[in-house]
Amino acid sequence: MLLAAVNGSTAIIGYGLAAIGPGIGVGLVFSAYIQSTARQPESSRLTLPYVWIGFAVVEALALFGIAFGFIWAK
Amino acid sequence: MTGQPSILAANFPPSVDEFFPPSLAPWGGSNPWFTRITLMLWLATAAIIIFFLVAYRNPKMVPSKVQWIAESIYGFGRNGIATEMIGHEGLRFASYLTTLFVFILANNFFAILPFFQISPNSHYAFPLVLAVLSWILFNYIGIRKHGFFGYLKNALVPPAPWYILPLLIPIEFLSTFLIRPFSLSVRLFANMFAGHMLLLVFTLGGFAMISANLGFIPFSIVSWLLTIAITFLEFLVIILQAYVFTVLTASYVQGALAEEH
Amino acid sequence: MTGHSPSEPPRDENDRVPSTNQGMTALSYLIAGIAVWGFIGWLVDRWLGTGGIAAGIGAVLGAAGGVYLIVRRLGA
Repeated sequence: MLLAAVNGSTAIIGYGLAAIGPGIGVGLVFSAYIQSTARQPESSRLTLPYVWIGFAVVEALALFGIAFGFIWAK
Repeated sequence: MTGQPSILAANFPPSVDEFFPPSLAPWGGSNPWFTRITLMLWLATAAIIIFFLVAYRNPKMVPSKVQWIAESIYGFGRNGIATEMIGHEGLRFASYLTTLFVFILANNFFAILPFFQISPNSHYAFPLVLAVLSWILFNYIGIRKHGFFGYLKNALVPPAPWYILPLLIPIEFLSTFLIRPFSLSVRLFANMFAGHMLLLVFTLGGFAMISANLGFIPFSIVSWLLTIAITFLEFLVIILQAYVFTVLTASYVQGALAEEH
Repeated sequence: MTGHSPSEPPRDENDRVPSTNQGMTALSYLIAGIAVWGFIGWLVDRWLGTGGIAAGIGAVLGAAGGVYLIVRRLGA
């Protein structure tokens, strides 16, 4: 017998779950940059390229979440 | 008083119809072109032209107040935006960038001005035209400097080994030629649209709550106080969006002028 | 403000930390990569009749391309 059912778009539930990880990840990247700049301000210029690389890799997963929600939705 | 609705003629919740005001003139039929929005656009243009003309009517070495304000605005556009982003060649673009900044600022400012309280930039057409102008500008500057194929090579071909280039060139094309004007226009439009919508929701919500139940008057007062707070926030957003639009245009021009990496 | 001349040599855009230019570039490379190659993958899908997998592969390839561009253009 049916105990519970979810109607409607499961793509949106999938996207919500998929957004948790990248959200935390981007926060970690920028928090590391802010802390390192606070400890040694002259390093800010040296570490800024790594901020964008880290942000790109983490944000790619978040964008996958949006894209696959549309591509693979039933 | 039974708390009758329609203290205002507008409905709650506010819809997109709020952004299409009625025609101010007897002509126009079903597609009015002369509305409050057109009037605001003309007023903004006239105000800018008259202000700068009056400020420079009798320029002196020791400036008068109005002349000082006008020179400060132009100095901000020239030093803070043009030469800062583009470098020495930025002086050619300083007047266009300052005009762009002041024009967007004047149009945005109508969003919080009493009696108007909607910005022409909350219609997508106006930021779109400005973004297309910026797009034409940075492409033309790039083509004039490097030649057509030189500019395409500079803009589209990243430093990468030759076998990955087919993967990367469509990405660069989309990113440089399509996403840039789109993001410029949508950023300005969405900020103005959302700001106006927020103000509408809080203002009309106050009235709707009163007309639903007179006991909600304290909530209505809180709602109206929040409207005032959001108006101040909107003032910050107005200046920031005008600045960001101009700075990004300057940075795209700098990218088009840049030599080969 | 009017008395200032540009007193320091014009610096490139990497110096200006509060500027959003690099962030917008990074995000636009990512979105463009996923959009372009996801679309091409979707076209391959319709041509070959596969379920949705080619679009997914295209999106992942596009994201990889976007990340590579970011590393090359904005990286150290």
